[in-house]
Amino acid sequence: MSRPRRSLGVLRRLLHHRLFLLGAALFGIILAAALLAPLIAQVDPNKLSMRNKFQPPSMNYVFGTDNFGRSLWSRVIWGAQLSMFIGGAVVAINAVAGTAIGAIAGYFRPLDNMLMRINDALMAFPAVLLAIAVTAVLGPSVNDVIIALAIVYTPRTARIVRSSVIVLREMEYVQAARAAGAGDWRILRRHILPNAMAPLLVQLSFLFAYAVLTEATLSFLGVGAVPPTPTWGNIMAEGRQYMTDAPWIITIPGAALMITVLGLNLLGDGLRDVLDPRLRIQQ
Amino acid sequence: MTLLSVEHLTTAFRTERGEVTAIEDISFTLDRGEVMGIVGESGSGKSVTALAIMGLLPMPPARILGGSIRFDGTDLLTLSDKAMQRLRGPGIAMVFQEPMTSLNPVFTIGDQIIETIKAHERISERDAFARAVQMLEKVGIPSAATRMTDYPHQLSGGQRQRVMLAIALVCRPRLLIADEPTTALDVTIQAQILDLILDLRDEFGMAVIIITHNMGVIAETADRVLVTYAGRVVEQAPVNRLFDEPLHPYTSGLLACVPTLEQEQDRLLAIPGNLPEPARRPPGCRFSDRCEHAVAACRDGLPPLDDFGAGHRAACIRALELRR
Amino acid sequence: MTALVQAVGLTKHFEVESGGWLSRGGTVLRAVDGVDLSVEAGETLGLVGESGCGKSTLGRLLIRLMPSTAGDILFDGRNITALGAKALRPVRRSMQIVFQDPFGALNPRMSVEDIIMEPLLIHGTRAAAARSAVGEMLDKVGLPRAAAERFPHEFSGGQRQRIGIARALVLHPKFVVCDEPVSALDVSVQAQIVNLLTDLQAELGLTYLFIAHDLGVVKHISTRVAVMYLGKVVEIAEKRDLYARPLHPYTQALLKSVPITHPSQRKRGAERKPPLSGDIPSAIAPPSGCRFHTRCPHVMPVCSQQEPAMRPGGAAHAVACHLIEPTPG
Repeated sequence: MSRPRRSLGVLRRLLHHRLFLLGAALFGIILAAALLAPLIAQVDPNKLSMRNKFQPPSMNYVFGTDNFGRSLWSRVIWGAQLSMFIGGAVVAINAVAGTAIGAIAGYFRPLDNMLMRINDALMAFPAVLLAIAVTAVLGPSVNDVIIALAIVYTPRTARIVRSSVIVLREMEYVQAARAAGAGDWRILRRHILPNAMAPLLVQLSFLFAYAVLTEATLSFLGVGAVPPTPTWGNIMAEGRQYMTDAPWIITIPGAALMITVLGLNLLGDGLRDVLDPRLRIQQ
Repeated sequence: MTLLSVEHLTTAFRTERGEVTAIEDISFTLDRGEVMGIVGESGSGKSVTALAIMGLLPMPPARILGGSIRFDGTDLLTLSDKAMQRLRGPGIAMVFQEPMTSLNPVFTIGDQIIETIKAHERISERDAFARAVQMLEKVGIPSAATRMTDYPHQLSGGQRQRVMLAIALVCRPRLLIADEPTTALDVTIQAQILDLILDLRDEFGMAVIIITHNMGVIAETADRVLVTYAGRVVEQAPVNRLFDEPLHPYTSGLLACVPTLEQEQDRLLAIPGNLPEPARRPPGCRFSDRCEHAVAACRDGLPPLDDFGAGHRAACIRALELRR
Repeated sequence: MTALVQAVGLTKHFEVESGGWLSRGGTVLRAVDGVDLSVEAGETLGLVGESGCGKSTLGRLLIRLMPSTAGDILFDGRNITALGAKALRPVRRSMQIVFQDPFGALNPRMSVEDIIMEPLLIHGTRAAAARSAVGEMLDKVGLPRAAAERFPHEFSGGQRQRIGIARALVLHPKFVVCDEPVSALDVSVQAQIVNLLTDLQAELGLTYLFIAHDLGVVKHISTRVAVMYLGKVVEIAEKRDLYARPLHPYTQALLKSVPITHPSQRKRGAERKPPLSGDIPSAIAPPSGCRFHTRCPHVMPVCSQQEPAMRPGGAAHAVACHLIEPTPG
C-alpha cells in the first residue's frame, strides 16, 4: 500500500496549479534579481553621471538613466533587493509576533479581550496612515520602515492565527492531549500551531505583497528610506516630475512593483486553494 | 401502477485518482403510494441515487454513464434543466438529513414556504400565505400562523425538519425522497417525524423513498427495500421477506450486528473488515472480502441480481445453498 | 463493589453571551445541574439521554477535562475537584477518554505512532520505550503494526476509532470515558468496536462510563444504566432492571421510542402515536419543578412546583419522580 505523506500531496497539487506556478515564476524573477544584484548590476546605483542623464533604454543602459544619469537598471535591481529585504523582514517579524500574540489571545481566553482590543485599535487606522505616523515618530530609515510595517500588519496576522487557534483548541485531539496530561505549551506547540500554519502561510504571502507595496508608498511620499537610497518608491517619486519626457523612470520600477505584487498574490491564491481544507473536500 | 422506474443507472465521479463509479447498474420501480426503503452505509451510493433522480448531481465532477430514470412516463435524464426545475416541487420533492443547513437562515420560514408555492403556481400572496399556514399545521407546528415569521434558528431540530417537510410537500409532490430524515434527530423526535411522513403519505397518496442506514427506520416505514453496498444493489425484497429471510450475507449481517432490546448476547455478531473506498473495491462481489461465506468463485465476477420469486432478488451466487 | 469515580452535586453552568462584550453576566446554560453518581470499579455505567441533556459534559467533568461550577469529583476515594495541573497529572494516567468523531479526534499532522506514543512522552517515557509500546497497542486494538508510520487520513472511520482507543489505553488507565464511541461509525463497523471495547475491558480490567444515545448498544455493553434529562440524572438502575421495569416516565418514553426491529411489530392507527410529543426544552431556562413535566404524560400539579429528589425504586434502582412513593429506608 502506498504511503502518501501529506506534505508530498500538497507539493504535488501545487505543481499542478497553473496560477501558482505563474505567481512563483514572477516572484522568483524579482527574488533572483534581488539576490544576484551584486553580479548583474555592478554599476553603483548611486553613481552620478550628468553627461548621460535621461538616456532612454538602450543596449548601453538597459533601463535607461534618470535625471542624474544614474543607471536605472542598477537602481531598480538594488531597489528589488531592498524591497525583498524589507518584505522578508516584515514577514519574519510578523510570523513570530503575530503567531505569538494570536496564539496567546486564542488559547488563553482571559487575555483575549485585552489583546484583541489593542489589535482592533491598531487595525482601525488605515495602514498607510499608521505607517506614516510611526515613521514620523521613529524617523525615516530602512530599519524604521520595517518596524513601522511590522506594527501595522502584525495585528492582522495575530487575528488570523487567533481565529485558527480558537477553532483548534476545541478539537477533540487537543482534548485528548489535555486528558493525557499535556501542558499548555506542549498542546500549543504539537497540536495547535502545526495545524494553524496553513492559513498563516497564505496570509504571509499576501502580507509580503502589502509590505512591499506600502514600503513603496512610504518612499514615494517621502517618509520612507531617505533618498538617494534606491527604493522603488524613491525612484518613482523622482521620476514623477519627468513622466512625460522620460516615462521609463517611473514605469519600470512601477512594473517591477506590479510584477512582485501580482506574483505574490497568485502565489497566495494557489496556496489557499491547495491548503484550505474546505476547498479540498470539494475536489 | 408504476410511478418511477430506474433502469441500469450508472454514475461516476471524477476524483484525483481518476474516475470512479459511484453507483452501478441500479434498477428498481416504485408504485404510486408505495414506500421504498434504500439501505446503505457510506459509499453505498444511496444518496447519489437520490440526487440523480432529483437531477441535482453536481456535473462535473459527476457524470451519468448510462441507464434511464422514468418518472410518470418521462425520461428525466433527457429533460432540460428548466423542465427538471418545474418538476421539482409538484413532481418530486426531497428532504435532507441536516435541517439546519437546508433552510436559508436569512428568510423566515413563512417566506420560504410561500416562495416554493409561487415558484410553481400563479397564486395571490394571500392565498399562498393561507396555504403555507395550512401546511405548517399539517406537519404539526403549533400556532402555525404566528410561527410563519420565525427564522430557522428560532426553531428546534425537530421543528426544522417539520418545516422542511412542509416546504417539500406544499406543492403536493407525487414522490417524496427523504435522505436520512431522522439521523440528526433524537429518538423521541425521530419517532414523531417518521410517523408524520407516513401520515402525510396516507393523506396525499404520494410515493416515498426513505434513504437510511438504520434497519429500524426501514422496519418502521418501508413496504419494499433495496439494500445497497459499495455502489450496487445487493438485495431487493418486500420488507417482511427481507427481515424474515435475508438472502445476501451483507443483509443478514446488517440485521444481526445491531444489538436489540429483546435479545441478550455476550458478543455482537460483527461484520469483519471495513467499507471499501470507491477506488479500492475488491474484484468480483464487492462484499467478498468481508463475507464469511466467500469462496473463490465470488471473486471471479460480479454476481447477477437473481430473482428468487415474490419480488425477492439477491446478488449472491451462494444465496440458494446458504438459505438452507 | 467500591466506587472508582464519584460525582457529588456536580454542576456545570456555561455562560452564554447575550449581548456582546459590553453586557456582563449574560444568561446561564445549566448543562449539568447537581448530579450525584458513582461508577463502580470494573463496571460499565451506561449514560443515556437526548442531545443537550449534558451527558457529554458530565463525562468530561468527571475526568477534569473542563472545570466544574460546583460539586465534587472523587477518584479512587480522593477528591480531585480542585487539584492543580501539576498535581492532576499523575491522576490523568488513570483516566482517559475515547471520542465520538473519529475524524476530529486525531491530529492530522501526526503519524499514528506519534499519536499513540504522545501520552507516554507526556508522562516521561523515553522515546524508544514508547515506540515499542506502540506496537503492542496496535496488536491489542487489531491494527497491523505497519499502521504506525501512516497518517490518520489514510484510515477509515472504524480504523481511526481503533487508533483513538489505542491512544486512550496506552497509559493503562483504570477509568475510560467512552463518549459515543460508535455513533459516528457505519453500522457494519459498530459491532467490531463494541466487541473490541468489551474484550479490552476484560483483558485490562477497565471501568467504563459509556455515553450513548443508542439504547440497544447501551443495553448490550452496560452493567448499570443512568438516564439523563436536561442536566439531571432522572433514573439509574441495574441494566436488566431498568429495561424491564423503567420507572421514570421519561425512561419509559425513551424505550418506547426505540425503532422496532421487525416490520411485524408495526403499530396501527391510534397505537402508532409516538410516546412523546413536543421538543426538549432549553437548558437555559429549564422548566420549574420536575424538568420533564412539560412533556410528561402523567404530569400532576406537584410536578411543576417541586423538584423530585432521587428515591429508591427497588434494589439498586433509584428514580427522581413524584409518581414513585418514597419508601422508608
